[in-house]
Amino acid sequence: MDKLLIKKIKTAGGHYVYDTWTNQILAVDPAVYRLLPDGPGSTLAEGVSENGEGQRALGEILEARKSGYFREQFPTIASFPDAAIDDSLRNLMVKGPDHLILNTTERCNLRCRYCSFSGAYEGNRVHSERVMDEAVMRAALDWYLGHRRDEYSIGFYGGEPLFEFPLMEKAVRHAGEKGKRVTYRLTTNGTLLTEKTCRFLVDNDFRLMVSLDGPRPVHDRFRVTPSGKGSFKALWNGLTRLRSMAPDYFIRRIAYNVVAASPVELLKIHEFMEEHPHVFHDHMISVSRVNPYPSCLPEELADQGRDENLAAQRKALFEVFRDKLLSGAFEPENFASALFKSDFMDVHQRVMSTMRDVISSNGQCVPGDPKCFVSTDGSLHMCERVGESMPIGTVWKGFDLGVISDFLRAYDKFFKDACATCWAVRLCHKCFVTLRHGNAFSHERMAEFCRSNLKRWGWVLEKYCEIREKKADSFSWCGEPG
Amino acid sequence: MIEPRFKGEPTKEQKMEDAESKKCKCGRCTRTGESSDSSMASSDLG
Repeated sequence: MDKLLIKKIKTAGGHYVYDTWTNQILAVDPAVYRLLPDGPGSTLAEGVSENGEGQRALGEILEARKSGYFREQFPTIASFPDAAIDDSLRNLMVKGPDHLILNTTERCNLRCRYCSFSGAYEGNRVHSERVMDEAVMRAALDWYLGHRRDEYSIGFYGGEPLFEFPLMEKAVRHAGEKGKRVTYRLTTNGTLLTEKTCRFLVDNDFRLMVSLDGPRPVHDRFRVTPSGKGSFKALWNGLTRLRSMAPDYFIRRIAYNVVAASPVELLKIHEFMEEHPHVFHDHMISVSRVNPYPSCLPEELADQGRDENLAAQRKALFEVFRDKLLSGAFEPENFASALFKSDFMDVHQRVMSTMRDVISSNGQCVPGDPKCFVSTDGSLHMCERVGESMPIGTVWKGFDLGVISDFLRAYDKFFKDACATCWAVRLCHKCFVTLRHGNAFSHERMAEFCRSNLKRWGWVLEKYCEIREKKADSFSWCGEPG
Repeated sequence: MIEPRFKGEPTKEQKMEDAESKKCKCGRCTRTGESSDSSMASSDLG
C-alpha cells in the first residue's frame, strides 16, 4: 500500500480517514486506523500477519477497496494540457477578463510599513508620482468593453485611487457611455472618503475593499502617513461619513481587508469589531499576513515566528467560531467567522465524486481571466499581486497569447510530479503569487507552502469532524439555499 | 465496519466546476475581486 492517498484523522470521539480518491471521510475502528499508513510511501503497519485484530482490520480494508476506497494509485497531474490552453485562450479572447483592474495611480498618501510597494519586495514597483494617462484609461476601457460578455467589472487600484478622483469620474463616465452593464470596485485606504467622493461611490454603487487593521492602536502601528502619523482617525471619519450618507449601501457594499502584522493582535481586532457591529457584522472581512518572502522587510515585520501568543489567540477565536456553529446561529458573521469560514466551507462543500485519473493542480488562473491588471503605462498583468515585471499584453494590442501559453506550460510542468503523491491535492489551492520568486516558480517557496498547507488541511479536517460529531448539521448554512 | 461519514454538500456550481477543473479562487474570496487571499487567514496563523 505504498500508493495510498489518505489522511488519518483522530478526534476525541472517533477515528477517521480522509480518502482522496473518493473525497469521503470514512469512520474506521481503532485497529483499522492503526494499520493504515500515514502517507504515501508507507506500508501497512507491521504485525498484521501475527495479530488476529490486525487480520480483521486488513480484511475490512480490502473489503472497503471493493467500494473504491483505499485505491492504490496516484493520479496524473495535467493542469494545463495543450488542448486546455487552446480552449482557455479562445475563451479569453472572446470574453476578456471578469474583472479589469485599473492602476490609476502609484501615488499614495500613506506609507504603510508592510506595503507591497514600499520597496521591500523584490520585483515590485515602489511608490511614485506616476499616474495613468487619460488616453491609457480610455484605451483600457475601450479594449475591455469591446469583449463579448453580459457583465463587466471595473476596479480602481493604486496607490490610493481616490488621489486621482477626477480620473475615476472620467473613467466611470466613459464606461457609462458604452451602454454596458458595469460593476465598479475600489480598493482604498479610506482616508479620502469626503462628502464628494462618498456621494460618487454611492451613486455609482461601488463595491469597496477598505484596508483596516483593527482598533486605532493596532491600525496606527503600521498604516501611517509619510511623516509617521497614524491614519485611523481619517479612515474612521470617512467610514462614519459614508455610513451616515447611505446606511443600506454601506451594509451591502463595504468589505474589509485586515493585514495581521506582527505582533498579531487577533483578539484586539475581534473585540474592536464586536464593539462596532454596525460597521463590521455581516461584512466580508479578509485577513492576510505580511508576506515575508522574498523581501527585505524590517525583521520585526517579516519574522512571523516571534508571535508567541498567536496560537492562543487563534485557539480562542476558533472557539468563538465553533461555538457559533454548535449553537446553530451562525449569523451574524464576524471576525472569527472570517478567519475560519473559508477553509471549512472548502471541506464541507467538497464534491462527492471519484477523482479522475488525470486531474489538475488547483488554484492557478489563466493569466487575464478572471482578473486583468492594467498598470499606469497601459501594460496588462495577471493580477495586482504579481508585480509588473511579467506583462501579458497591452491595452493597445490586447493579450499576448504566446506569453500566456508559455506561462501555463511552466505551471503545468512545475506541479506535475509533486502534487500527484499528495493526499491534499483536491483541497489545496495555489498560484503563481503564492509560489513565485521574481518571475519564476520557486521550489523553496513550494516546499514551505506544502509544509504549511498539509498542516493546515490536517487541522481543518480534524476540527470539521469534531464539530460534526457534536452537531451533524453544523454547516448547513453553507449548503445549497432553499 | 468502514463507512462514509460527514458527507460534503457542494453547490450546483461547485459540482459543475468539478467536472472541469478548479482554478483561481480570487473571485470567490472577495466581493471586490481584488483582495488578498482570504484563505491564508486560517492557514498560517499558528
